[in-house]
Amino acid sequence: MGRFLLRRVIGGILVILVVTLAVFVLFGPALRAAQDIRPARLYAGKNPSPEQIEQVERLLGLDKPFYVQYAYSLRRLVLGPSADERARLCPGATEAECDELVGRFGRSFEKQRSVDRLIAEAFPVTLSLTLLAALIWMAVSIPIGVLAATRPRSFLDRLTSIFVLVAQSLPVYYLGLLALFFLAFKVPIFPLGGYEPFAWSNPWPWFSHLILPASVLALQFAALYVRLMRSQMLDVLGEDYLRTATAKGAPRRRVVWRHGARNAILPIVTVFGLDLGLLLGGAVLTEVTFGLQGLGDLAVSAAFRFDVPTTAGVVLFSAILIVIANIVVDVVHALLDPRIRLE
Amino acid sequence: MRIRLAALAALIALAAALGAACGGGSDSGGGGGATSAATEAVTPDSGASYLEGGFPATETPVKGGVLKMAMTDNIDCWSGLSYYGVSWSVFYFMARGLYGYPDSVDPASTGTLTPDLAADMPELSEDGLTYTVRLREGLTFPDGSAVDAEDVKATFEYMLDPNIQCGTGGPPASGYYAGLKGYADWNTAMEESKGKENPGIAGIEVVDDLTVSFTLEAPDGAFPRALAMGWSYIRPSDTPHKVLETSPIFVGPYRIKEYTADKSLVIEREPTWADNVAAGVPEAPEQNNIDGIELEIGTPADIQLAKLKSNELDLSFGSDAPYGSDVPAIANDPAYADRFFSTADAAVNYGTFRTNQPPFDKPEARQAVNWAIDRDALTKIAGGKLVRSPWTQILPPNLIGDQPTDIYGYDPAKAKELVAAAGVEGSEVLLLHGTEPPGPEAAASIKENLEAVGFTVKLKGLSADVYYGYLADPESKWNLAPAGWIQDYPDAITFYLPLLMCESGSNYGAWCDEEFDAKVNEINALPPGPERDAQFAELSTQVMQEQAPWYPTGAPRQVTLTSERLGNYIWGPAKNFYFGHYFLREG
Repeated sequence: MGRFLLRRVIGGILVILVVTLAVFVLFGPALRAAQDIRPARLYAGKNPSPEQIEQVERLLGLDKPFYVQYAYSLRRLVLGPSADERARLCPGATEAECDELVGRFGRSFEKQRSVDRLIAEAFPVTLSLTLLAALIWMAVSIPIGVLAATRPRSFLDRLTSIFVLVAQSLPVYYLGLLALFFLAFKVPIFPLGGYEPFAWSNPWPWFSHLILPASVLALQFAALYVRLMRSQMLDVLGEDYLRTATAKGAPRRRVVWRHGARNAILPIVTVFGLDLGLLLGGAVLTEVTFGLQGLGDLAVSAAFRFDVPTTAGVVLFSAILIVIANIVVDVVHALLDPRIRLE
Repeated sequence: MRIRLAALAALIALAAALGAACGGGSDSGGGGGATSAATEAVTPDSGASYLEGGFPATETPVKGGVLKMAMTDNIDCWSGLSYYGVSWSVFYFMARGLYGYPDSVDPASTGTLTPDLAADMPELSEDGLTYTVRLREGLTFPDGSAVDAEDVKATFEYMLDPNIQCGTGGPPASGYYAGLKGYADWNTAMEESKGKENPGIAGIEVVDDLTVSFTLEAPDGAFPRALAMGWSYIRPSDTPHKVLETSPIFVGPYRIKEYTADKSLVIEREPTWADNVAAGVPEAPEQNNIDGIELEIGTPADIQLAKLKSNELDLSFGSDAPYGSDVPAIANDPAYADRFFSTADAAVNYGTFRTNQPPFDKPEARQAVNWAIDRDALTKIAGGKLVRSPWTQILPPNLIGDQPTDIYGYDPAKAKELVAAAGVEGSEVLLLHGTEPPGPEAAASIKENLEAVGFTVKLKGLSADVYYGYLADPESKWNLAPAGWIQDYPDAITFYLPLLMCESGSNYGAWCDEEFDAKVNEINALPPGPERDAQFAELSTQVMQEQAPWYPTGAPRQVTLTSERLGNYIWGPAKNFYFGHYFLREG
């Protein structure tokens, strides 16, 4: 187990390095070459002189060669801001204050705050949305997928096929707008977008603001998972060991759920882990449609503004989540199926 | 000041989709406003009556209630130094400077400068260079300290400090005060010492405890208006010279209670305000009715529209909604007849030429573009005449009404002749445009127009967030680019000074004509009034006919949908939203 985890962590770090490098190339030299964009100019004020632009370049560290900027960001990620960054970005501040201003992910060009803080503010929104959506789609898709597989070509199965087709054909932003229009505007059951932080004393505002976007997000995933679960179950139900269990007189419910579903769910767990990791990095369209200021919204707005530290920070954070999700999936696989050994 | 472009293209698409879902829909668009001779009357199917700057009769207001607003994208800063006009309307509401404007859109008084913290209008010296301002007696800041002349001097040194920024750039305010005696030397000293040594601006002198004088290098008839701009509220002299997240304490009827970056802003009444009213700062009984403002930041345009329709919001602060196809849909819906407004703005949509590079270094080539463009088509693309009207002058019609409207028409044959005369046939030009609607559609229309007269046009789209930064970069590559500008105060100099003079901060195309600059300076020495306006208007016509430094395309309008409970809604270019005039019907 230990060796397995070590191997995966090292692999994950390599993935993260590649991702960060890609982001730096995309928003650094590639951007300059393709779009003729100089981030320092965009943040140098109304009518800067060339000297002022150079000053902003120095302030943001953009005057250094690309590989040095990249090295700085990696160093900062592991050890915190360097002495040079402290001098440039937070002169006169204490070490603790500077950590707050610059952080591990750097300082946003646009917001003039640490990207760590921006991520910390946006992540609870995305986390809430993702977890609620995941709960809904798993709770809906697994029973429906199993039932559809146990009654192939029945009315329920055909109804499921229609559901899958419709849910997968509707883009989330369109479905979101329809949901907002009918369920929040025409019949005001739910709030019109926005987010309320979770509070133990009264979780209802949090829930009522999230249930509509989470349901819309869940619908598309539910459609995919129903399809996946149904096909897995159909395969599993034809296996010899299930016929044996039935022949030995095991109840149908036990055969289907205990022996069938448990085996059919393995690929679902793999996909679920990856989807969860991906969504935790930001459910962009859902967040934008419902006005939720989560990680997706933060990443999109930073990318539009060529705010390299924020974009790179969110991408890096997402990459870390996906790597972790992958490792968790592997562990869960082993727990669900004793035949799989991590070593 | 710069016109805010719309936010994400995705949001606009979503807004359009919701508009369609709500049963509306015709053409798409964007922009903001203008009336006068150039604007045709618009009569919607519903017979609504507030589409030409008209407003309901003033009701007797009730006090109380919190006004709810939303915006899609935050402004650059809430420290009181932003150059976004939309933020100025809030600061005009919250705070008081030496001078201000009345809460009225009556043409006879809306642009009339009135003393706020100053006891009277400034006294001008005989040589026309020194304005002396006396403060009212007994004014206090919210902390109880007295407001004196040192605070006034310190305020302008704070605003102009090159080391204090709104965002990462330097102070946006400098253009209007650069004529102060000794400003350039002071600016250099502040830059070099990084603000550690403040030698003071020689042109700002404390005469006595309550009197301060402003001495200019050259006469500037509009300088008193610069003392009333949306960032010139008096701050305590001990305000630290550093970047502030929200405004320092001001003298005013309201204050910022709470600000959560990029999420929300809450404004409440300033409890000590009555002391300053007692000291003589003007406040009419029917003014300042609401108890405060709650502003949501980051709300998508489509959600804002839905909330406006269902009265959950009172206003779209960023004018994000209604937009595009929603505009005619709502204008024609009787349900919104008494709360939908399309109002003339003192703004202009124009295109700028890169005049220091061929082919637009030749006036004939620029004139050709002006004759080639089909402005009616652009108006239609922008969303129709509720959103803007075709326009060909530098100064908007709602700023100075009596201007010729026909200096350029749609005449491709004439444009072709001028292209040939300039010898620029076949020239390849790069047309920059925003990626949000109607930018791409408008650019496609202009491309078609210009290719029909002999240019070869390439297009380049950029997001609104980086558009102006790119435009202002002398190293960036473009030949033509659309832009927009709103008056900073009711005077033509707010178009010439920032946009068209050799050293102008937002002269993106680097057009420079020293004779023109001299003429602007000459007219600027005149006091505000009809003579000054007439000469500036004549200059606009002359320079557009002879030099064509721009290709103006339209005069935008402000489009607003209010909640049912918002009473006494008015909107005008001097203050934009007149929050001090509004009231909430439920009290």
